[in-house]
Amino acid sequence: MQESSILWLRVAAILYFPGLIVALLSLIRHHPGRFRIALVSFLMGATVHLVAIAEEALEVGAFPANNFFEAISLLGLVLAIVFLICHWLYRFESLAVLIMPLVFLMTLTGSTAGNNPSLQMGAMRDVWLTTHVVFIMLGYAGLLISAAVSVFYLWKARQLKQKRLPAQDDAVPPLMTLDQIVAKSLGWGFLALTVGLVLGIIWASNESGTKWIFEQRILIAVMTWFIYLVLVFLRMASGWRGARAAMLTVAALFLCGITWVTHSGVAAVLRQ
Amino acid sequence: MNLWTVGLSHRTAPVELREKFALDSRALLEACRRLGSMPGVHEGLLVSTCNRVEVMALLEDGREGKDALLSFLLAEGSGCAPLDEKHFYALHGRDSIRHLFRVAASLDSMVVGEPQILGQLKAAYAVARESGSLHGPLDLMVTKAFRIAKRVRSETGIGQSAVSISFAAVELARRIFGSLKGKHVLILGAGKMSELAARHLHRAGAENIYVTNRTHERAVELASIFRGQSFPHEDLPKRLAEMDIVITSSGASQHIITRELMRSVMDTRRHRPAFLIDIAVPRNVEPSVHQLDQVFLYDIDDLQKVVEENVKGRAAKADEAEEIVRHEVERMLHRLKGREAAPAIVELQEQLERIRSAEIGRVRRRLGTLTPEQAEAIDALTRGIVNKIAHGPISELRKHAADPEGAEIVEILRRAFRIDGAEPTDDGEAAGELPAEAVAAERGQRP
Repeated sequence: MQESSILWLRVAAILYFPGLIVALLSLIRHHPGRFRIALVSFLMGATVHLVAIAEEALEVGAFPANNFFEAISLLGLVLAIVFLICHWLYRFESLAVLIMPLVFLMTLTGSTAGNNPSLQMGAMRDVWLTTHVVFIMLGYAGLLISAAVSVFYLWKARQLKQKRLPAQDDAVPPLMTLDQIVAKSLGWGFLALTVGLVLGIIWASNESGTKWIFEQRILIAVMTWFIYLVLVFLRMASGWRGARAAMLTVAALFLCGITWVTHSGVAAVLRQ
Repeated sequence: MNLWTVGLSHRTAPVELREKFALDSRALLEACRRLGSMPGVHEGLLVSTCNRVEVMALLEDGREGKDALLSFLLAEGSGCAPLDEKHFYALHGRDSIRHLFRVAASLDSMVVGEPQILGQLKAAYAVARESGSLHGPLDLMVTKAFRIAKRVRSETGIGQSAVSISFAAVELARRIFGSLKGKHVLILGAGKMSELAARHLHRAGAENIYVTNRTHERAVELASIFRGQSFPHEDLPKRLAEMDIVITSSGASQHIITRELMRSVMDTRRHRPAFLIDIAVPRNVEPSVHQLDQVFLYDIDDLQKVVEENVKGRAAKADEAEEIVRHEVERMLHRLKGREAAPAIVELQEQLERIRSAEIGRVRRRLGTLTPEQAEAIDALTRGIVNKIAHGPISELRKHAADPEGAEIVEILRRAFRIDGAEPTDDGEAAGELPAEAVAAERGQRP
């Protein structure tokens, strides 16, 4: 990664950090006004993050998703944007408690990259592959959001089952709204993941024929997509909702996480 | 500031006594007019609700308000036997302002945080304005009380939690469904309690109300209140899947909604959430129904517990609200004392202007004929000098008006500048020099 891009990424992480701290404080201490400050800081962080990725792309002359650090940084930005859209639509401030730290950690991890090309996973200059990566990232972001919202769903349903109405409950949308967010983010995420996979398959077939089919990471990716498919099918066709659906969403995220780790070269990073 | 509040409330007087003092809006207007025209009363406000009747008045300085306002209240009260003074409270000055702010913020209400009192206070304010009994500092205090009430509600969230069983049901429904618009509500058994809960849900936006009862005529009658529909009791298993919220208060001795029935209902509903409120005793819904995913069953005891928790929560929030009120009372006192300095400032400016005009008049004769430009230049010069001299004393007066020594500073300035209505002297003592010396001496500086 270029030094200037790393610098921008660090600035983005610095901006994300007060955002997440102020967001946590405003939610714990019930100061809705302060959350706006957190949101502004987070928005500025996302803007600088975008600048970092754009600069890297211009410097290298290719889409920056060549190694683990670039991939995790890209996922952080996509997640930040999806979160901001989600907040704009639903005013779901508490979601920041789960998403903002995740975005911060992803950006921080991305910014620890050295100017070292040895971690590159190959020449990824193909438009097909770039689009594949972006769509897969959108798919993961959709799943991350739906899993995070599912956690809130489980918490809220538990409060209602236990017949307790804590004050913090006000900061979480009603149960049915949470269910709608999960359904929408799953739907869009699944669509993006499907498109990403199809593009990946086309690219891989052109580059390497069919020898990649039985690679472990490919099998895990397809399995995750299949679980995603089952999840979406159960929700849409059979009307699966509630705690079971929420837990399955979290499980699907776990499997997606494994797929992502094998894809993004984190193993290589850990070996180093 | 001689502000007094005299009244009786749910804290000091039983309802039998409060009702004798209650005034309807027309009587309130007349009483406000009488209050405004009382000797020594600058401004007045009368509040009459089911929980309090009180009179607040700004009186002339030095006038004792307790007896006068108590007599006024007793005269307005109808059919009162000789009264014990313990039923009344009389507050003065700071306590009176604090009381007003606490009442507006619903901290002195029977149910702390209830929203009605603010509306009632606004109505009383409108009546007082109409009668002409409110037009100065008290007006300022009352409008400030409205803003404080809003601040307390938004910053502490004191009024958010429900403190009655039927509101608790609405609150729970909102936590499950969000907006209740378009939600289907079933009243099973046409009891008073379920009718009340349904009424609150209807007000909260639930438009589709259904009623079923063993006596179908009663179901039809109740459904007509909400412009809803009724259906025969036997159709319940078929129709239950349509219902998002079910309120049961039937007198049946056995469970009407069993776990098995609800399980099949949830399959038909494709597991959309269902909220069951069972306020019947014995209960109409099998308790194990609550264990089904997406089914939320609350009985009368559960709702009561929710209410109790909310009441405790409000008490904690009331402490935060009291702190806001305390801070605002100090700010208001500071502001009022600042206003009290205004007449002294005006008098000072007028006195200086008198001196300036007199001195110019005296010197003009010696200067002979002046062009308009020259006259204007002299005028501007003298005005500038006077303003510069006055700037220091006026700034100090504004700055310290609210301090304990504020009245003393006003007095010193009055004496130093001879603000007593006397015409400036022409005995060789330069009228403009004396104040400068006095102010400098007051500051501990050389003139």
